[in-house]
Amino acid sequence: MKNIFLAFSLLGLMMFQSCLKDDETPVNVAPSEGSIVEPKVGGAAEPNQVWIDLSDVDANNQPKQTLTERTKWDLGFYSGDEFKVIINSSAMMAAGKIEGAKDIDAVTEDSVAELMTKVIVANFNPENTIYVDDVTGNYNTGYTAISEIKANDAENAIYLVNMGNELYNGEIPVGSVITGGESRGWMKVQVVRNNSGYKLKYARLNETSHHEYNITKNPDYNFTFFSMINNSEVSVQPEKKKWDICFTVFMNIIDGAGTYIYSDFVIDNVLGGASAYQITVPEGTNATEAYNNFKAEDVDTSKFQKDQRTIGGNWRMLGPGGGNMYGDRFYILKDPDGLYFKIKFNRMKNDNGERGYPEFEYKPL
Amino acid sequence: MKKIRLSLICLSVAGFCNAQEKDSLQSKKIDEVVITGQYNPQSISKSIYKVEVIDQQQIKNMGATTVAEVLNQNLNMMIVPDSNSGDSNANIMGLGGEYTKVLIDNIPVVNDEGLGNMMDLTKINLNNIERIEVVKGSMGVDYGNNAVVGVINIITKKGDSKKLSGNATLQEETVGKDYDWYKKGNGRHIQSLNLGYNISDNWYVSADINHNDFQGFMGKQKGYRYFSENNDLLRGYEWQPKDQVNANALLKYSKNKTTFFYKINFLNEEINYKSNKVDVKNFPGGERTYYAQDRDYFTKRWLHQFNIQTNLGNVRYSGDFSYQTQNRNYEDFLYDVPARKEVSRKDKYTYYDTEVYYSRGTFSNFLNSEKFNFQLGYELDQTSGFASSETIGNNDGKDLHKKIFSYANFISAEWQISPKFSIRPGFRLALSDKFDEQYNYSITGKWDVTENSYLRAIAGSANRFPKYDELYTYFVDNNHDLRGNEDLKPETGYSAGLFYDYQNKTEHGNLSFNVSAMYLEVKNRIEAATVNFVPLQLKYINIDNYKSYLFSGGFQYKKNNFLFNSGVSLMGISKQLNGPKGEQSPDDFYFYPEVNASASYKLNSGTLFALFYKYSGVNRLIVMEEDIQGNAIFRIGEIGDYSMMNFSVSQPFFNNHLEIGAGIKNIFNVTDLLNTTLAGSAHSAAASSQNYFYGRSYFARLIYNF
Repeated sequence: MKNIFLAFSLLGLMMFQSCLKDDETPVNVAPSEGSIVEPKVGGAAEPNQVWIDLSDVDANNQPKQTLTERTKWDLGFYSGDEFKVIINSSAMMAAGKIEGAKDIDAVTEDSVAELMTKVIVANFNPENTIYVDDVTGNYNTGYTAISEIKANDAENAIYLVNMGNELYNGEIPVGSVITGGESRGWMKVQVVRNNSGYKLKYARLNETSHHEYNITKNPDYNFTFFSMINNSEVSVQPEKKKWDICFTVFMNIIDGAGTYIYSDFVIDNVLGGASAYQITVPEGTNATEAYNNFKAEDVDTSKFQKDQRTIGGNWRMLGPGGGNMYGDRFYILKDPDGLYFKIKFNRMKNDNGERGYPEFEYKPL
Repeated sequence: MKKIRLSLICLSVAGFCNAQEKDSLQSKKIDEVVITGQYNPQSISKSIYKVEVIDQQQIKNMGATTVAEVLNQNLNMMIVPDSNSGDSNANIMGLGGEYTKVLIDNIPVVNDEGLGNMMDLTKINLNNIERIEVVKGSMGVDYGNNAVVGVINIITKKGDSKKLSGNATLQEETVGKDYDWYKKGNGRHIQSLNLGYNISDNWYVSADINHNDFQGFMGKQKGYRYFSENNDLLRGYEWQPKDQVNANALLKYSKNKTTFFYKINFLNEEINYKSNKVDVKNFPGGERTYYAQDRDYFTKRWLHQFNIQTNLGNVRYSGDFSYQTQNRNYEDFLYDVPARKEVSRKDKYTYYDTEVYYSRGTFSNFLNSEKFNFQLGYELDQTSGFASSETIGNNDGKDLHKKIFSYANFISAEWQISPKFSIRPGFRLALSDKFDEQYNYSITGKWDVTENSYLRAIAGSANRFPKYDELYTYFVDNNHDLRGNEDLKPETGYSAGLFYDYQNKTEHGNLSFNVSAMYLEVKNRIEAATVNFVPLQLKYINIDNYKSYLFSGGFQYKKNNFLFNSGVSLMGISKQLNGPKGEQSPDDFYFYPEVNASASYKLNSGTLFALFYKYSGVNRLIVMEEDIQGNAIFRIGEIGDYSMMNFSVSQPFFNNHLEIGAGIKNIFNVTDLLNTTLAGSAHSAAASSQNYFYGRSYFARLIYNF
């Protein structure tokens, strides 16, 4: 009897132990203020550049989004006073000067074989930064891979252009992004002035003749965009006062490691006159409250950065199991018309954990 | 509810298991018997190999719950938990788990990628274990590939002197300071039941089940209910909650010179990974909440083993036939943290699936001579492996399906040259449809210096086969290019050692001591190395070397109810690393000491006190990092020293039917250790400390013997 009693007490203990439920009372979370926006980046291959005008809102308080497939353009011709040409960073393009070349039709794969081993990005070579444009976005005054176009045609070099990569269209594991697909090949490019505009000469590397195209400056836009693959001008950015931030894949520079390709990047329209700064909430302070309580009079105008990467990739962290937003920071943005907005990033994935579905909230100040 | 199911099983058997009123004190065997590397079960002093034995009593005294915990007390062994996956990795003599072969009852155990190596030792429970045998040194001839550093052989219990035997155990343990009885609460809760029955003089049957419910260790984290609007990464656990059910059943027959048994082992493990991150989720209308992307990992493992030992005429035959499967999968789910409820759950995703047919057989005693004996053996396995694409990089979404057939023949001869001196040379030829043929050699000699002392000289070789990630990794994107290499050769390991043992039994007690020296070398080590700079490409290649010396000594004293054990070792490791531009690191040896000691004392009242101690000195090794120009920088990394001490008391009652025990583990409250041996990467600086233990904890145990 004694044994049976003991056995049963043991079993009783075992069963009792699994029945207690800990306190699981739901807790309340303060609701959000302002508009919630889901930029249509397009999923884990991040096919789109999404240009957003925060002040142009529809009836549902949603700001206007303009979408461009990243690989639809190759070159941008600056519309301001300077004669500058940019290459498409979101397609991972790179350009290097072909020393001594005078005749674009004479350039062949053989004549640039050595240069082709150099004009490559994201290979952890710190010297590859000369093949990309100023990452801060001040292209009018800053460095560009294709040097400023001079009035004297003879001073404008021929460039070897690495066209970067197509979009990736394979399967992407949940939680990852793959922003580069097959290579888009190589081109040779020369740009000269044409009155107040530009004349573009370009061809595939081994072609013995080239295309020419005249581009005029349109002062309503930052740039006129051109696709050498489709041989046509393309509409990419909205007018220069009509976009504030853009979600894009972006080729950044990591100090000492050269160029590195970032997904989920957010640039602001520094050429159009926008600028931004980050507010990091101190530990122990509730970031949502700090954001909700931030008013127009709290704006510190001395903190605005003339760098399109102010938001950049700083809003999200990467790590095991995909990425996630930083909850302890938000951004103040001044748009090209001088209006102030506060912006807080919420997510970089959808509920399935797939990347390329960011979400932010914002409010005019 | 697993607990309830378990309880019901207990209930149904408790009825008829009414006490067998017999003294349950087992008569302690005079000399321990070992089987690792032997032709036949052999007493430890006659064994041709130097076998370290951890017996059931010692395991019980430690209050240990997994094999990992027991082995951490051994010198030069450290089982390191991976707090993210809930798995653990072994570090044995400075090398990872892929260099050690883990056997249960002398046959290798299925794992994620094959057989026997890279075993997660926290997935082997201690219920029904009779002893653990450890042999250090390359044993490729006897146990095949991956037995480079040595062999861990876990021997289960297969008999009892009583007609009906059984016990039920309940162990409650704190995890650090944390303990409660809530469903998703704190602490460790263990229940187990063992039953054995002698059907007749020849037939024995037994069954056991063990449930190990680990509720996780929070440490600096704040548990699954915590969330921060600042996303401060403090949600979740440092050690993820883990629930294991392990069950065995055995049927054994023995008559005259024939013994056979059939054994089934089942493991079901669930790990509840709680993400440290939360995502804000906004609903139309401004309502918001916080979601966590959590994951439940499931592992199911089945082991079937049939073993037969018999005489075919004079020839002694021993054969093992085994079928083993292991499936690992997970389910992702979204958890609404403030609302404390699950929002949605994805389908099961299998990431490893392995199926193994295995057989090993040996024939010996052809000549029926005391002087000369030789053994012929074969070992074969067919392993079908599945690994999902994400376990080997992005791989374009392609999963891995691999089937490998391996066959090996081995032969060795034992020659008793004189009554005091014997030698045993051995050779193995291994073939597989994946790798070139492999040859392994061994030679051991044993000299009985005096009646009480022995000298053994042992040399051997073994290969380590490449792992899946080394063969098949494909991690290529805009910024990275890391690839596996299907042309990799197996790594080759060699070891040689001298072992001296002395033992003396007098009326003043039994005394024994031993000293040994061992050398181990591994060539063609596989590492991911830069094979191209522009564009940057990394690939796994056979490149590095590893050498080590291990000097150790042990002392044991036993008198009446007092037992004292101690050991000391000095281990020196040289790992030569190769940089991307042909730089070579220095190949200096870095030595570190380890000491262990244990003592137990039993009062006449039956009260047993046991104390365990281990000290591990500062461990230095060379680490390679690359500067921004891609040049290798070599530096010396350190793993900090630590002391581990456990203490337990147990007291039997009611004629040993009931035993109550209690103890303290990790008395010095060790948690994180300094660790500067991890190399930094382009994305992150290396961490400078690592969590190895979860601090001081207390346990109480109730054992009821039928």
